[in-house]
Amino acid sequence: MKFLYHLFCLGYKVQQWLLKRFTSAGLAILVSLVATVIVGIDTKQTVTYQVFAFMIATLIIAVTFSCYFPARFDVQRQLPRFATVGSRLFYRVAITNRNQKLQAGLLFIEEIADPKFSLTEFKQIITSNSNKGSVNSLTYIYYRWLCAIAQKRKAKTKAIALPSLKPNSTTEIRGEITPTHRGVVRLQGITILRPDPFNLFNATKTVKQAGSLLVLPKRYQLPVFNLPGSRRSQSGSVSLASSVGDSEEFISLRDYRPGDPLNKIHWKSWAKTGKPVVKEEKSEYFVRHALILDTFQSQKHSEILEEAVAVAASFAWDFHTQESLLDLMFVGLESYCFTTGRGLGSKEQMLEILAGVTACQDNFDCLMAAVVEKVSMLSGCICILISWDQQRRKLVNYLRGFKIPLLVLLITENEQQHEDLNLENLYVLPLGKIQAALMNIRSI
Amino acid sequence: MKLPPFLLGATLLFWGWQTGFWIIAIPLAIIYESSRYINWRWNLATADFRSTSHICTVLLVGVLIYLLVSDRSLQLIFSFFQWLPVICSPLVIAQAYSTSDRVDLHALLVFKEQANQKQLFPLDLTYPYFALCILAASAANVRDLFFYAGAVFLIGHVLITIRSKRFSVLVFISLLILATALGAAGHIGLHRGQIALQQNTARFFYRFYRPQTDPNQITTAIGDIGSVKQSNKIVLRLKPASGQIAPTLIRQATYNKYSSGFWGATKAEFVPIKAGNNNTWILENGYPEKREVTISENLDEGRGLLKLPQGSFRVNKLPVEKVEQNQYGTVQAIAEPSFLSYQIQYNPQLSFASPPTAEDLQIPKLEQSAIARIINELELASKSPQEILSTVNRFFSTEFSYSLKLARQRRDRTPLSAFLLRHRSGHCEYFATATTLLLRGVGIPTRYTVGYSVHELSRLERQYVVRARHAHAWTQVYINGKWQAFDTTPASWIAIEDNAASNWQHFQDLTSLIGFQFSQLLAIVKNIEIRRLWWLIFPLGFILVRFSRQRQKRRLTALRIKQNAVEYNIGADSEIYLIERELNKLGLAREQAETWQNWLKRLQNASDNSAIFDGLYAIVKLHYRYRFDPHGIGVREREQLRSACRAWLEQYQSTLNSDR
Repeated sequence: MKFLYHLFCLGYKVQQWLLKRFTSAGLAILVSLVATVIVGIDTKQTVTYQVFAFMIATLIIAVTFSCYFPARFDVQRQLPRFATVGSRLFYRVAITNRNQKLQAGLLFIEEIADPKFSLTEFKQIITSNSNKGSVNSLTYIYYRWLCAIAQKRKAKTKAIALPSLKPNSTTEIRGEITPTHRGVVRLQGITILRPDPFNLFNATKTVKQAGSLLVLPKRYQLPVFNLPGSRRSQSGSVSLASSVGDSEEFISLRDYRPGDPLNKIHWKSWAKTGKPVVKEEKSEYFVRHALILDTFQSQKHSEILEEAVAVAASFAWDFHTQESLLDLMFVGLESYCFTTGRGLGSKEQMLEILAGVTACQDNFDCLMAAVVEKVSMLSGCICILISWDQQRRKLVNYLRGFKIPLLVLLITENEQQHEDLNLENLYVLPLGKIQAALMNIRSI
Repeated sequence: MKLPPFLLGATLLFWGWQTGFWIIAIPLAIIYESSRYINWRWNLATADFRSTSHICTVLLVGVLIYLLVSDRSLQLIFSFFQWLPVICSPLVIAQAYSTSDRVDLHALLVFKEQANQKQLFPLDLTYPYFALCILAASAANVRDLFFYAGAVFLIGHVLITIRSKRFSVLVFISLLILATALGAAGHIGLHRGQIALQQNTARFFYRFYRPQTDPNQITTAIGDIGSVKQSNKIVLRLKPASGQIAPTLIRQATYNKYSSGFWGATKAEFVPIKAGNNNTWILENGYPEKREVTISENLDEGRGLLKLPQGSFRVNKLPVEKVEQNQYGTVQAIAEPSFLSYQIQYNPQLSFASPPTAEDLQIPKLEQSAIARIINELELASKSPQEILSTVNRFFSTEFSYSLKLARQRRDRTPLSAFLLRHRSGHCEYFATATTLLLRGVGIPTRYTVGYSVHELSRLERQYVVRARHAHAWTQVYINGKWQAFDTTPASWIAIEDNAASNWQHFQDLTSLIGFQFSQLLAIVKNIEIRRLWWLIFPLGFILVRFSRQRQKRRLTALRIKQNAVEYNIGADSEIYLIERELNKLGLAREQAETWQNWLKRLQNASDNSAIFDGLYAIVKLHYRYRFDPHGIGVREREQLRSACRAWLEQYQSTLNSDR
């Protein structure tokens, strides 16, 4: 296991080095070299070794040429705070050429921090249950390793051609990153590449420039629909909410009871009567919806969970929060409930929270407990499930028992498996067709 | 970036030139390059490209069948490489005439079709096809300057298109010239390095392992540079029947197709030989006039070629699993690695190989001009077969010399042409190959045979020994309806080979003889039937009884020593030792080898209170009985000893206390 771990780590480093140092043509030459070695191993049988010798000579010259690149650069990058999965992010990069000579024909590439895995993490990656392929197959282990690397890097970069950089001057260019996974992307620097005359091998100059970027979940377009629900009493739970809708309304005065908040004390009456008196106000009634996100799965990462987060982000973003509250409920390392709406929190904050959602490998009852706690205050509920089993069925039935409008979205890999599910307001969203399935949701 | 215009067409023509596939290369080049002038395009999707790749598969299978039918030697692999541009051409042409300039990698047959293919891997096939054409051209193995020049020109053309614009064209061209020079030096070095490595490795490993000759193909040293050196190792021993002479040549394998230093056996098919009684294998039906010879050798691998004289028709005493023979007379035995000593019956006047075929008259294109020139020079065309043979023999023996040192050839000639026309010096493979092809040039069917020359009669062993350096090659000529051996290598070769003998040869021969005798003995023992070994029962039984007695004796001795050790420990727990310890504390130690009796006497003499020691005499006496009496003491006496010791100690302690 330890050998495999070191082998894979080395393999990743070699791969990164090859991709940075060799141009596409250089990589093609490398592949051709391997082919010529196979065909021309016996110099008596073919003359392939002559092609091999010529290609090796060009590569040697190219590598030798790359040893000399006496240029100095300063780099300043203006990175936005957020990006979204799947949407290319463009930002400004200012490169200053500190040489006396014009620098032409250069490229630059962003350096994403090395996704280092510990041996324990590696073991988890290769032993995690998956229904795809054989667990023992080396190819599949390598595939999972690559997926884990992509998951940790969270973004892809590519070499971008630079315009000619004038001596001792600053040129502003447009950088580009394609986020692939939600979470924090850590950038550690920018590498300037200079290909050799054959355009096979790059000389490099790396300028350290740390930076980070939060990648928000992907969002789908949602149909226009309203989640109905009557207003419910929200006793003192939204004290920070603005006064839109039912504001604090005075009813009467009563004696102080231990536990009453200090801001409710009516100081004037206390002064008159000599004992503490508090104001009694009319209870607040307004609409409060819950967005329940199911994160329970055995694997640490899965495409289904990513899609579930994306769907949750779509609802969180599209929800009109001026007059109602939205509780985002999910279980990560512990049970979480974030409330937004009526001036409390913002959509962006909700997406930031969703960017950090991780899978929970505990019992589903944790989520159930969190829902039970809030259910009396809820006017409606959107439930995003990543699987369908007895426990989830129990949750849905429980919510249904409270007669509150309920929308259940089940994300699945296999659509046929759930064809017989005939529950009201339950929509199956198959992987790859989620956008189309979302557009079919009708108002409840 | 696309390939420069007309480059792929030019590469196809280059491939056609190198491989000789002009008829295919020209139309392919025209079809591909015409796409620049023809405006209509197919709208091909990934599925259509997949269908096109199915055509490629059909072509692949077709080419493989054709190659398997026409040539079953290992050269097939290299012939297959030459056909690759033809096999892959439908895909490239489909791309050229499609609306897309790239093909999804999933369309290629190696990738499985998946229902929900999300990612596309578009690939411009022209670059891989370009590389494939160069690779296929190199597999033709045309060893002239034009291949390297052509390949450099074509690859250089691609490099100039993709070059970095940061540098001037002048810098690029200078570096390209440098790369060309380095590449030329490198490939010459590689080739020579491989030959040197092969020679040294072969020499090194020949001491431990004797490589098997492949009945389908053999690599000659034709075209190599440097000196050919063979080992002195004795590979087989040959003993003719008494009063008979030994055959001068023993054949190992015969081949009929020559190509750039390789001889192959076309469509060689081995047919199993029926086994007779007592490990006899009948290759052909019996002949009254026969000679006999016994050959002894080691069959190192599980499969090996038998060394047989011309006209062998029966092999006796060959304990192997299977014997097979191909149409060229090559005989192969399959058995466990072992020492073999087999008897061959043969008639040198006979030949059992299959009649000649068209392949036995084929001359490779590259050698045709040199062969034709020699035929003209010797005016062979107008002569009878017998005259031709004598002329050719005279020609090689007078005009040529034998040499183990191989000269460098000019790049514009093949090594064989250079041998025939220029330096006229070489080893037996040159002579045999040249003779084979020369006679084919005048319509005489010939084959190339490898084996050994038998000429060294060992005084030590009183039989012929054949060494690795006696390996030889000659020609089989089909004259008067039968195949005959025709050897044109100058007779001086034996003397030259013998000069290469090591100074240690005699010592090596002696060790080899010991090994041979031992192997022979083992083989004899192996072949003895069990029922003939009954007489061994008595001496073996005697040895067994004696051995078991000795073993029993040894076991008894060991047991006795163990018992003694237990006996020695009896009485060690006597309480008298407590008394001794107490007295030791007072500095009254018993000396080594001093008996208890003597010690007590000494103590009494030295002490003021001698009476106290009187009581000890009885205790000592009882202790002696407990310790040394074979019958030991009873339980009561043992208790008495214990209580007496304690009582004496208490008395002694109280006496000491009162003294203080």
